[in-house]
Amino acid sequence: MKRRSFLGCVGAAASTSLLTRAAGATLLRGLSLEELVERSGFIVVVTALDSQSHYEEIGGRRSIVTDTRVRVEDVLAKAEPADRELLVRTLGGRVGGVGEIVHGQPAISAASADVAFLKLGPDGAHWFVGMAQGHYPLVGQLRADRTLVPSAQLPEIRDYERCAVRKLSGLKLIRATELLRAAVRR
Amino acid sequence: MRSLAVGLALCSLFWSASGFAYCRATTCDPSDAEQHCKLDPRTQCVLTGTPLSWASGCITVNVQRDAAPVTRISLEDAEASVTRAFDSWLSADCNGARPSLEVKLGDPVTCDASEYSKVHHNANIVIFREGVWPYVGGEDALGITRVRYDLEDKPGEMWDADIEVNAVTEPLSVTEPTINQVDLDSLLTHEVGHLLGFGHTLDVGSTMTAGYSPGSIELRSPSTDDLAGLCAVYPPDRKITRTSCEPRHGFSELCASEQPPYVAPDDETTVSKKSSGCTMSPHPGSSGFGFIGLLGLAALGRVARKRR
Repeated sequence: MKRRSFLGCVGAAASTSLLTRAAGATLLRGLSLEELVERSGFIVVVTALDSQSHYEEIGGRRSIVTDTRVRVEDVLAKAEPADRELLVRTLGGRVGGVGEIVHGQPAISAASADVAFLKLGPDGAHWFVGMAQGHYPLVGQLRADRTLVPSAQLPEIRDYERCAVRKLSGLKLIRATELLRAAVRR
Repeated sequence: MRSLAVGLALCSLFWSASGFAYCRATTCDPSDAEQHCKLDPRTQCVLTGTPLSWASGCITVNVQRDAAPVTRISLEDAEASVTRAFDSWLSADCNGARPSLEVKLGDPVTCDASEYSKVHHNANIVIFREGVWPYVGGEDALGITRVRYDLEDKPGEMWDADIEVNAVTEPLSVTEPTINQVDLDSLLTHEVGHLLGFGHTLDVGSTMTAGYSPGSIELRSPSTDDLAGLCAVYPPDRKITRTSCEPRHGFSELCASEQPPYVAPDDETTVSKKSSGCTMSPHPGSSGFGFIGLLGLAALGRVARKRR
């Protein structure tokens, strides 16, 4: 890697991954790259198609959830989903004049493709592994330039120095894919 | 007047873009792709939607009655930690005065569900999960705060908020944490920030630390920036239209499924005259009389009940 590219990469990683001590952030234990990969059933690039909020029973209580239908554009590692469309569920949403926010959920963008670390829940929906730690929007128009950035609204992370967010943020998608496949082999 | 109100709203909404790192949660939920929330590229604050806040000058928070027996966190320890977390925020000095929000510690509750009901009494509760942490993919969350708010009549008015503490997988400490323990005070101080209406932020210009290290107690105190946010959202001279400390539709220690349906009184939309102990307003120099004082009153009440 040329020195300029390397510095650019380091700079991007630093600039996108430096987290402030957020106001009242949901506190997460940071997942290492290996943990994130191990817990994921699917590691895919997705684009959001549409979403819908409704009540769902979680832990024996009715909770507002948002189901986002996503299209799988690429499989980076782990299993290949049986369908090219998946249902991704997050906590919170809007139902009947009531809004509910659960901080720490990934901020899914309708405008970009995202790298998603997903696991299948007992409810038949897919959930992000590690909440926002399992979500990386891609920036860059050209395929070769696509770069992972941390999920917006990423909460406070414990053990930040060793966590996957730090390792993946700022990486080109190609390089990130290599790291993920190496982690699967380990 | 209308343009003034719009101007103030915009000032409030874009406050974070003017050098502060804190973010306010808004009615636009960025986890919902269809809401197309706009984010500040620097801070990642949500710029669209109406900022969330409590309309009343007082709210009540209750702790789950059995606290965390397996983790050996008693109700008294839990309430004391909750008290310190709120006090760390509400003792903010807003140019010589205190923020215009009082928090009352209510009686402990038996309900251990994070829920809000439109047809039952409610409560803002702090719950300790020891058996099952029910959130798929969120197993590594040390705590979760769920905030419910109005989307129709008074968009952004917060109705209910619950904090859930993960005592299933995380070793919690209520004193000085060891290197592997999670400091409950730090955790609650952060979750309380959500309960007060704040969201997350990414700010490359901030000098604040990047993360939470095990055993650390540094997050017990909100930063100067956090407190500036609190003073902006709940300024001392805020026009308060509601003074009751009661949760929406009144308080119950029971979960919604165990209550009879709530029947709204005719005058519910008017300002409540039945203040439940929240008539005192915080003043500069009276630090510790706010939430800690109320905790003391609650404790006295409990002792009195036991003696009866």
